Amino acid sequence: MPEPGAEATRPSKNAIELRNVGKSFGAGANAFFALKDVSANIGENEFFTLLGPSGCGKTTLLRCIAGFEEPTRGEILLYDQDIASLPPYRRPVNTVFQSYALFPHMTVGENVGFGLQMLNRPRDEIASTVNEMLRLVQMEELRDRRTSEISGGQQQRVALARALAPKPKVLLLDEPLSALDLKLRKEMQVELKRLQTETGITFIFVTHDQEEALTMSDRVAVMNKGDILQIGSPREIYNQPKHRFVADFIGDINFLDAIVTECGVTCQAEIVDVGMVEFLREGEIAVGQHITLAIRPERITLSAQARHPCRIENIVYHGTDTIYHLRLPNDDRMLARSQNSEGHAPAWQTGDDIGWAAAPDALAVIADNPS
Amino acid sequence: MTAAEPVILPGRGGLFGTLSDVLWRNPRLTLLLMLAPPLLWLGIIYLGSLFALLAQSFFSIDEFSGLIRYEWTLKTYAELLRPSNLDIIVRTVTMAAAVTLASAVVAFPIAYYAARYARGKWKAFFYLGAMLPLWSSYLVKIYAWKLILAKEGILTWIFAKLHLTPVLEAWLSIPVIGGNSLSVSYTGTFIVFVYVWLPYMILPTQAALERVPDSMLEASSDLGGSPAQTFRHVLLPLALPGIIAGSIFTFSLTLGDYIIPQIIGSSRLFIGQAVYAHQGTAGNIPLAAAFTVVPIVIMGLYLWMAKRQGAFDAL
Ligand SMILES: Nc1ncnc2c1ncn2[C@@H]1O[C@H](COP(=O)(O)OP(=O)(O)OP(=O)(O)O)[C@@H](O)[C@H]1O
Ligand SMILES: [Mg+2]
Repeated sequence: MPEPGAEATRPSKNAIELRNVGKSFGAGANAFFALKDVSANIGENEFFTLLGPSGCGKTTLLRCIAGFEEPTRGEILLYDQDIASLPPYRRPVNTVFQSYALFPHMTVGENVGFGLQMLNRPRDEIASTVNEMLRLVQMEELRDRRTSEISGGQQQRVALARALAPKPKVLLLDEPLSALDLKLRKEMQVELKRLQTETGITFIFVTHDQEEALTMSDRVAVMNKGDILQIGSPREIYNQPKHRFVADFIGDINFLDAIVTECGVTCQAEIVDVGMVEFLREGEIAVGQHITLAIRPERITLSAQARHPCRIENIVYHGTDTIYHLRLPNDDRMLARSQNSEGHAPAWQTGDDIGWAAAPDALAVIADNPS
Repeated sequence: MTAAEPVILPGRGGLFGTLSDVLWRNPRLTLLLMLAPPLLWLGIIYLGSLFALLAQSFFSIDEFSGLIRYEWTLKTYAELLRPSNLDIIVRTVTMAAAVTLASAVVAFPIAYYAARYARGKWKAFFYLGAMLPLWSSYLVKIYAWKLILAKEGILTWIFAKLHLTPVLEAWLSIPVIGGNSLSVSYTGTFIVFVYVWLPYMILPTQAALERVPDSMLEASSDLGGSPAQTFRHVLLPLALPGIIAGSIFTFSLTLGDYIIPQIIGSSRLFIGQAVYAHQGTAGNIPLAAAFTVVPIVIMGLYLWMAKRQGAFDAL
């Protein structure tokens, strides 16, 4: 579903603006571009997520924003000022490191107060801010503990409090939850979101967990091989993927190759040996063009009478829902997912011939550039 | 025991089999057996001789006969506090402190480079460079330095070539640390001490710096710490255990050495030389023993203070 006001709800002011940022490691023939050509605008107070597989350049991009790496080319603007060549200690940007990087020779409280101490703030201000921050992450009782004497989840909170204490303009979080177990992770997701709303600080959050990205973010940027492929709200990313990679990386999806036969407000396309499908017009589409359509398994409706025939190859029970592995007449496979509601389970079995259908807005047109 | 196949694997049998079963079940016993020989060695040979020495310092020497009187007395310690002997102690401790400080200052950048930047062959080169001085004979090195520092030596020559002779002369004319030439001044003694003990400072400092993760320094910088602040608040505290370990070497080695000040420096004694003289020709074993107690006490105080200052907190 395209969210009507998705773009309109974006804050007008940009906290961070990335303009054609590139970063290469090594020189000459061995140069490797960890970031190729990254551009993005990250709004004030936004929860912005960088999502991508391992090695796609998420950490490198964060390190460029934090100032640990200097981009090979491009500009990084913080509230309209170029900061690309500013050292990290002069940027009002703080990082929550994946490894937490807490100082082992200091107590929890001293760690949290470190940033303010570096800024030469008065002692009593440091003390009160430290208490405030520890209260925010619910760690007040542990203020005088050593950082080696607290659990992983608690260390994570301390790292968060430490990065928040100097009240940065932008907070960078590099997979801060990846070391936590599932339950704690879910708790911290909620907590992070709460903190972001309460403090009003812009968050740039890195993860390779698509579910985490979808549940927490205002907007998500999907990265692959040093490029941002698509930026959008979680709904847009999930329902209107523009790239095959984006579609594939986030959840299960079916790809259908089709030829456009008619294009007005809605378009028609023919899937060879399967039939005609209807989809919403999206960008430049010409009659006769070969396109790829993508559809999520849960957007496929199955019924005995539905328009397009298919055969059930396998049925997998998943508790809340059931997944049907289907075979189309053109020999393509397709996944469909239907929710299990009490008493309504159709009595289909493997080998049954049934039909499927899809609403026009369930089909997304994929730019055919497999990357 | 009706099962056709035993569920529990049978014991290995034999003396060793039984023994390993017993040892596995009693880890404390294993530890005891492993540690007993070295502990006995340490206890009897090392601590035993140390206590024998300590005991000697509580005896005194009969001024007329020159023989040792085996009665408990603090007379020897009173003698130790005589101005001439106190001078020796102050001189040695000052030298040891200066040498330690200078070694730490010289060693830090070298260790820092080796720990954070050197890779591959440069790292190997570093280890070689740091260790090489330890491999050649101590005496040879000191005599080499005597030649370098001598009035006709290469250092004087270099100063002359650089038209810096007045600087050298001005330095040598400073009362206590100066002298006729570098090789007969405290400055010379100091230089050679720093040179000879430097590896003992570099290696532990480097090991400590190696253990400081990059992310620690990045975190400091990220939170607004300038390079100087990061050094002061993060790098130095985290490297301190290594520097203290190194300083234990440089400090105690300087306190006890009696060869370097003998060959290079003025004729005024250091603790080591005093011990050597008293236990040798003078035959005053009690005073020699009392002198050796001084470095032990000083090192004890030093470590206690370092601990109080939190030097080992990052361990
Ligand atoms: N200092 C460096 N020198 C050379 N190559 C590097 C360096 N840092 C990163 N790279 C390379 O750049 C690419 C992107 O790395 P980056 O750490 O940004 O990935 P990532 O998206 O954070 O992955 P992950 O999810 O595994 O953390 C990788 O291929 C990596 O090997
Ligand atoms: Mg990473």
